[in-house]
Amino acid sequence: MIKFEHIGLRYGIGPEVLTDINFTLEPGSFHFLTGQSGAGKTSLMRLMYLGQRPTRGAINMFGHAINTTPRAALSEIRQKIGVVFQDFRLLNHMSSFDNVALPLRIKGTPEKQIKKDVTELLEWVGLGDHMDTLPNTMSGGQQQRVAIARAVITRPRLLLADEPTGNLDDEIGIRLLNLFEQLNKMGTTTVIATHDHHLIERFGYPRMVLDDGSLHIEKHGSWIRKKLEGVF
Amino acid sequence: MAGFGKLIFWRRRERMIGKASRSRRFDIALENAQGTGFLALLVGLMCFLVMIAVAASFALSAMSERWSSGLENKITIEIPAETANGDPRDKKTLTALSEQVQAMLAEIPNIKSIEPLSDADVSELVKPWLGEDLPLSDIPLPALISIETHNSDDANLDSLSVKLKNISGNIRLDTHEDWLLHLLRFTKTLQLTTFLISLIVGITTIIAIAGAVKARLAVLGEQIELLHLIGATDRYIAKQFQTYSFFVSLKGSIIGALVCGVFLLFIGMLFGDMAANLLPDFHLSFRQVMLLCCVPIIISFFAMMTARHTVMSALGKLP
Repeated sequence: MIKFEHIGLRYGIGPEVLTDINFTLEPGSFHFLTGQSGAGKTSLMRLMYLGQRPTRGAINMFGHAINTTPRAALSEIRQKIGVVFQDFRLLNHMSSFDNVALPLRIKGTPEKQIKKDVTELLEWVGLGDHMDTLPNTMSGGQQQRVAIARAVITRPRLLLADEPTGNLDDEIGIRLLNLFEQLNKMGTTTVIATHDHHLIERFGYPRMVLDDGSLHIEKHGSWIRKKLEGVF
Repeated sequence: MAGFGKLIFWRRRERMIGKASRSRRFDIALENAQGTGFLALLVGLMCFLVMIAVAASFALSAMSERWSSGLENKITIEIPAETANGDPRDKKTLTALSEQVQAMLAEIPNIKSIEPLSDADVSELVKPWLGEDLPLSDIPLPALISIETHNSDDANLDSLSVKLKNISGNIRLDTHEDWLLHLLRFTKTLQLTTFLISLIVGITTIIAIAGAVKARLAVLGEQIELLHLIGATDRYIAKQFQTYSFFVSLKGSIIGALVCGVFLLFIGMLFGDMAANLLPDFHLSFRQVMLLCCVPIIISFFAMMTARHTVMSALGKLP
């Protein structure tokens, strides 16, 4: 469970970019995070993947009170979070295989297992022929798929994706959202920041809407319908 | 440096074909960073200087050992070639006095051995100061008697001195202590200087490595943050810098050590066989060579620990 209570965030002495954020994400939930540009989506994502400490308030993740958790123990919590960054953040000196293998290597997974899992996943995202390719020679869509593969390779408990389908055509975008759904059904709590209203409509999960630094959760009509029909 | 050339070749090839040719040793692009060759060169130079200082320290140690060993309980009695009034003593008188002194010494139980130096021995001793070409037979030389005692404490020396004065007022007793103490103090000072030089070079190396690591931390900040965000521990990230710094320093210091080895061999060949006893011994023992061989490893170890400390303190600032 992820719980944000009265979270506020400001950079330096500037104004608060996030004001009194409160929400709880139940294990296995799926949310879209939306909001206009500059609403604080990236800041909220940074707080969620522990890339930033809040100025005020309390965060609880997977049973750990982040404010009081020793810094050294945060690495273990981060290993349970998969992140797809908006700018991908791929390491250009490494092949796409090594980029995807990185979280597994950090966790100390045996190389044999890494080879099997990474090969399987890269083939699944349609990059089976690009395992040795350096990211900076790939197209935006291909790089995005490598970034997504890297985020999901460890089957994280929380998956955060910032505009994950931005550079992809509709077909691949939907295919990747299906992958996120599959992971979600296996228990991964998923939050996807996106502007793509078609995608939000199509999948119909609840929306976390950021507006001027404040957050409210909207249960989407189609999601409520699915819930009533007993899909979940 | 062949390793660096090979690395550059592989990097260029990868950029050209857009394919990674082999798996990486580091998750962070440390090998691609500028200045790797410069750092290795710097460490190599530092290693060279430290090894020279350590070798000099060994030579000085050998020199002081040679000077002091065997001189304990050894005394030289000098019967001057002139009287206390400045009148010259002829050869016959000198010989008679020498025999008289030897007879007196033979009766003292504390005396272990008596060895009068022949004219040839005395001439040999003064040659380095007066030159080879001077006709030494024309110069009045003193009579010298080298003795070894069982005990050279002050009471025994005073008693011996009194007995010698009874034979002739200007017979001198030389325990070698005065000049030897000065020389030993001088060599100790030089040894301390070499130690300080090694220390300063070591500190400079540590500062240079810390600076290089900080520069890399700044250049590769995004990659480090990424590793941090996907769950890498500080130790995991620091290990990459440690390994990198260790191997770069090892490469540099091995090159420095090899150059130093050639230099020491040259010095050994140049001075090693010199007969002059005042010169230090430039031949190194097996133990000393082994100790010198440890210098590159010690430098690399310190480089590794410096990198670790620098990275760990920088990472401590991340959330």
